[in-house]
Amino acid sequence: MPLYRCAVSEGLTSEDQRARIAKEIVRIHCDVTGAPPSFVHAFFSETPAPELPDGKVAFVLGSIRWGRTDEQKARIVSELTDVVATALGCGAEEVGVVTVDVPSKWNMEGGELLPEPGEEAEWLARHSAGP
Amino acid sequence: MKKGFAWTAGEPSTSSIVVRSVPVGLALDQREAFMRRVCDLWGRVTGCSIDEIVVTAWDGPIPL
Repeated sequence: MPLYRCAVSEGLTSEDQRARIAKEIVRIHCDVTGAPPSFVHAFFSETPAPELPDGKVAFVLGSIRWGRTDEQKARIVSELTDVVATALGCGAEEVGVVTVDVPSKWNMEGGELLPEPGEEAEWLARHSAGP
Repeated sequence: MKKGFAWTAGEPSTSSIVVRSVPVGLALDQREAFMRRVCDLWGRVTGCSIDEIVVTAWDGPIPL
């Protein structure tokens, strides 16, 4: 967590484009929130155009930990919209980006509940120490 | 999931993401126990490590 689920029109994206978008998602999310990059997941699915919201060729749903400010969320949406549109060579109006707040404790990674935003250091220390 | 469709920290991912709906307001201890059981089951069946499993227990209908 965060988990960015990216629904893209069938056949629209190459692996290089998806890789570029995935890296940019990490950069944007971590710049805006200070979260560790290892927490950031980006998964893509190809979706028939009629199943995407009206007029969109890509739709990104970012499930992010609860506690981010409205300004942070607006920045994520704005910057990610631009990045996806640039990567796909389409207009910003053809890209939808939405974030939803998810309480940390609704998520488990590495067999542990996720820490609250800003409390990651101890959690990461335990998980980088290995078995 | 096909290669080239999943990324973690900007690199190709080997993680499994399991998002399940649970009753709204489920108590934290029950929620945690549920997610732990999913982790155990997932690891046992797929052979992946605990660090490759992400579970979300979502209140009510899951968006998208």
